[in-house]
Amino acid sequence: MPSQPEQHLLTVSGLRIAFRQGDAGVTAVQDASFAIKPGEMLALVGESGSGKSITALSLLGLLPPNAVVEAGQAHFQGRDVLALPASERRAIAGRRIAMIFQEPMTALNPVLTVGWQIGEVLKQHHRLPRAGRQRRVVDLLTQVGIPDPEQRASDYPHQLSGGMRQRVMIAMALAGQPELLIADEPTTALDVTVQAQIMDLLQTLRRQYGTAILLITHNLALVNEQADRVAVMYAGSIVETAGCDDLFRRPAHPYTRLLLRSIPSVDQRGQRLAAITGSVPKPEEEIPGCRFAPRCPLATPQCQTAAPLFRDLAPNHGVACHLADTPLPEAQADAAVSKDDAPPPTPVLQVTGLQVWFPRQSGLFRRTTGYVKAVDGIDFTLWPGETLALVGESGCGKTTAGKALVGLAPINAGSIVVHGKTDLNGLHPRALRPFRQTIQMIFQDPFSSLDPRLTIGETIAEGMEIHQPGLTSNERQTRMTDLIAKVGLPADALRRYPHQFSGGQRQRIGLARSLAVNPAVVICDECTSALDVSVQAQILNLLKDLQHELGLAYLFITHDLGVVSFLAERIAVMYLGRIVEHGQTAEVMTSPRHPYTKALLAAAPTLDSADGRPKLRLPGDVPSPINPPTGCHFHPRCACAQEVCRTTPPPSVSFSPTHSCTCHFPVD
Amino acid sequence: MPATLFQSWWFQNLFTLSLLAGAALLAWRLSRREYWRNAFHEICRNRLAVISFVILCGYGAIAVLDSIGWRRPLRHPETGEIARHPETGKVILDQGASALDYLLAPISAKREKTYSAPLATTDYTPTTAMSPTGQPQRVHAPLAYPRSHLLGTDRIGQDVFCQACKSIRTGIIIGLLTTILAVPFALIFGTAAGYYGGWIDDATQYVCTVLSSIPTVLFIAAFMIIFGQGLPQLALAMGIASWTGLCRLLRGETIRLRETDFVLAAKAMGVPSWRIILRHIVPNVLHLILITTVIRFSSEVLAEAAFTYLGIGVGADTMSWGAMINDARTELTREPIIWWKLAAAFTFMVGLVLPANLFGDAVRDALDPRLR
Ligand SMILES: Nc1ncnc2c1ncn2[C@@H]1O[C@H](COP(=O)(O)OP(=O)(O)OP(=O)(O)O)[C@@H](O)[C@H]1O
Ligand code: SF4
Ligand code: SF4
Ligand SMILES: [Mg+2]
Repeated sequence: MPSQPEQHLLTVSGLRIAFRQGDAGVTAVQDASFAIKPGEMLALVGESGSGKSITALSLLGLLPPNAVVEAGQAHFQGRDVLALPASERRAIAGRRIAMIFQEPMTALNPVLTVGWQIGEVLKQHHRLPRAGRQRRVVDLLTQVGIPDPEQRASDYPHQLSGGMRQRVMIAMALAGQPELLIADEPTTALDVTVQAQIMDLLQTLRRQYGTAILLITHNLALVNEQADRVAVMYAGSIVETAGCDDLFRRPAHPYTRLLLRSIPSVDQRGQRLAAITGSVPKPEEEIPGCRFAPRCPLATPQCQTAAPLFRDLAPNHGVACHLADTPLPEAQADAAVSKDDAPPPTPVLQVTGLQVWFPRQSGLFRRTTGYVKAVDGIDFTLWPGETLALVGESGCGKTTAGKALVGLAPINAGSIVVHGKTDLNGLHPRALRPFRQTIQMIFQDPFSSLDPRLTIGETIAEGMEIHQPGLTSNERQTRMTDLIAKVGLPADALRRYPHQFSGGQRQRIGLARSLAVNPAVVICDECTSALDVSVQAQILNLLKDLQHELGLAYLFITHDLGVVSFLAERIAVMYLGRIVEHGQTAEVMTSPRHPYTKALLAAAPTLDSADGRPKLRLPGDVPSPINPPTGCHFHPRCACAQEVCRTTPPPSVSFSPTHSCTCHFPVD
Repeated sequence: MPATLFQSWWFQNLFTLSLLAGAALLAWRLSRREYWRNAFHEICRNRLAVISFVILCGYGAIAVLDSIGWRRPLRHPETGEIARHPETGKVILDQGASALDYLLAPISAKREKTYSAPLATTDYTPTTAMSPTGQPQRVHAPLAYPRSHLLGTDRIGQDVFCQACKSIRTGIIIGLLTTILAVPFALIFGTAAGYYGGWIDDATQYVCTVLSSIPTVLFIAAFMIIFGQGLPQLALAMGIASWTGLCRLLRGETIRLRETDFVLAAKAMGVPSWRIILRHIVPNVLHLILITTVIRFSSEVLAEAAFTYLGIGVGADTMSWGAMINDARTELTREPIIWWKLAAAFTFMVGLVLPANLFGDAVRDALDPRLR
């Protein structure tokens, strides 16, 4: 190998990638330049569609067939990998540069054991003889922290949890002892506690083997805690690169500055988030000059005509903006959001002992052999105009609980009392119908929650036709026009179809559909988690405004603790179908009493400086609700667990009139 | 002859026109939807599909012309005088004929005695005749109407081109009617089974399994024996035999749709089930129905020919390509071989089925979101 004069492992410069679509070409990556030093972790951050994945795939020669690299170089150890012939590139891709993907489920072959699949990589890429291979597979599995590696090697992918699968993917990537590991959203499909484990693993590997890591993500908080340097990508171009500290303390590009302000956290409580107007442009949109200009509050006529050149502000801090140092207009503090302290007399929703059990049927005659206790006895109360956050990791039953409230999941036991009067459980479906408008739900996926064949007007009118049959079509039309304006959409939206709207706009439409029937409670099921950060901020602001205006109560189901601390008055933490801790947001966030809450808070990355927080890591994964552990469900992962936890379900302990948790040994 | 209501001309005309009006209404409704308009533009970009569509329209026009008709006053064969009832003095009408019959009359009136090859001037088979010298002689007798039979004539001297044209209606009616009969069954049972599940699903699945495990040929034969041979009977039998496939397809799609968020949202809103099916499920499976219909059309046309050839199709008094092929069976064994009837049936059939297939593929590509 020739000696390396430059200190960088990989230098990408002027990369431009276009897709051929029919006769037209669409430039997905406009201009990407960045460099990685050996052993460094560079984070490539950007919102969806900004071209992060395409950039990474081009380095490995994995671009889809209709994509072409139109310009640019990528020097890896002195050679331009983009210009290499396919045979030589294969010698680099997968060995010197390895990649792990977002979705470990689809990246592994379901009908082959993981040991075989790792062995195959060793055989193909590294020509290892059979005898050595077996040992190396076990070594690799040990390296990535999989317990019982000998046994696990003969498991099939579906027998492993999501976190374990991602570890297997990492093991495969490590097989060739790569110098550079590209991790494309490696933890996006995982729970926070598992995400923390995987990130720890990547950091350990980096320290031990000096592997450089290109971390592709949209999660700025994660970047803040993990990366050495950051490259921010917007609409196909890198707009800012800087050391991690520099970027988060002294962001220069208006996009970066606004993005950081639009991330919800405790500090923004009682304020509006600095949402960036509009949404990320699609690659086919022609924007002369700066691609951020249509959304930039600082944009000048110059910005609209001349694309800014990338320039160094300081050593190691580059930015592509004409006006990088100009201060931004201040975020408006929102006094209106403060509330009266005295809670209104009757709660809108009072849930006691709610159970949702799904029967597990087996055999020829579909006999019920057991139950999946998705929700196993939860209680909470919701007052008008307040937000209760239901927090927990995937599979803990949050969504099922929400669905049960709107009648989409069968209720096994418990009562749902609305307005202190009517218990919905047990009502005949016909008697229940008038109450349906009281509780409404907004769904997570903005793309599947609207019927593609109905216009927005038809979608919104549907509920009104059922619940306000007396309205004339004129009155209905007026009301719909009001609603659509209220959620911030143009008036002509009513006649258009869902596919003409972006994800954020669709969530607004879903909100308008719910509001059309005058609900008292709106259940938001991860309703911002499919959105880009800048759009999420718009929706969160809108939710707050509407709550203030209409006195809505929200049950906000989420796993994002930043959103919770920004929006919610109270938090209920769920684990395996039960609420383990319940209290005012401030109480739970600052002095968590349940060991699980504590671990959850520790695992979630934040934008605050990472130091000073306890490094508490939960081992293992969320167990399946089919066979929950006995006693306290949390005991196999709990650091404080004792004998009694294994046998006896813990009692509920109160710490204040509002704060309680179920644990034998609450932490102080 | 037009004894029953169904065979009377005014019923046929009404039926044909309302069918056309229905098709036009559907096309108009769909053309206002963006989704279908996009699909239409997509199809227009495909030159082969446009050509296919024009050919199909030609076939369709012939079938329509052959489905509307009227009766005319009976005239005296020689004087051309209009015949009147001797007592009441009312004009006496003939049995009537379709518009196509009237159009083809100049050709079909040119009857020969027997077989003649396409555009021939003489009979195909020699006959014995007296020569001017008084010797019996084998000669090819000159035709009554030389060079006027584009596709020759058959055993009894009828023009084959006319027969092939008259068969178009049979083929298209079978193709369309079968689908029109099959779609409502499939739609109702498929969506109900998929949406409600439970015993409705079990029962539908059971019926489908039973129906689709009876061999189609046996089923049609039994049906025709019980209800008699004829065009409506065959269409009904083929419809019953073929709705199960579409029903299963729709059931599967409905099960998928049932779990989508927009259906859940409607449920949470308290929208009654039947309304969800009508507003959300049916419009979202419409493209599947259209795709299946267009693609299946050509196989129904072919199936008609096959069943008629087997003797269990439309009866002997209805002209169809299957009947023509059946006739050709004996003609092909003659020496010299009589090939034009088979060739005519074959050409007309391919002329319909090939564009139908090409057009069907184009429709599927344009409507199937996965291929977009
Ligand atoms: N096969 C393809 N054909 C045409 N366009 C494509 C194709 N694959 C991706 N694109 C477009 O290229 C752009 C960049 O895509 P890319 O996957 O790199 O985004 P990303 O930054 O990784 O986003 P995400 O955060 O959603 O993963 C997107 O706008 C996408 O629509
Ligand atoms: S160049 Fe102009 S439009 Fe672009 S980010 Fe800078 S100030 Fe905004
Ligand atoms: S009850 Fe025991 S196992 Fe459960 S959380 Fe408390 S200490 Fe841990
Ligand atoms: Mg990506």
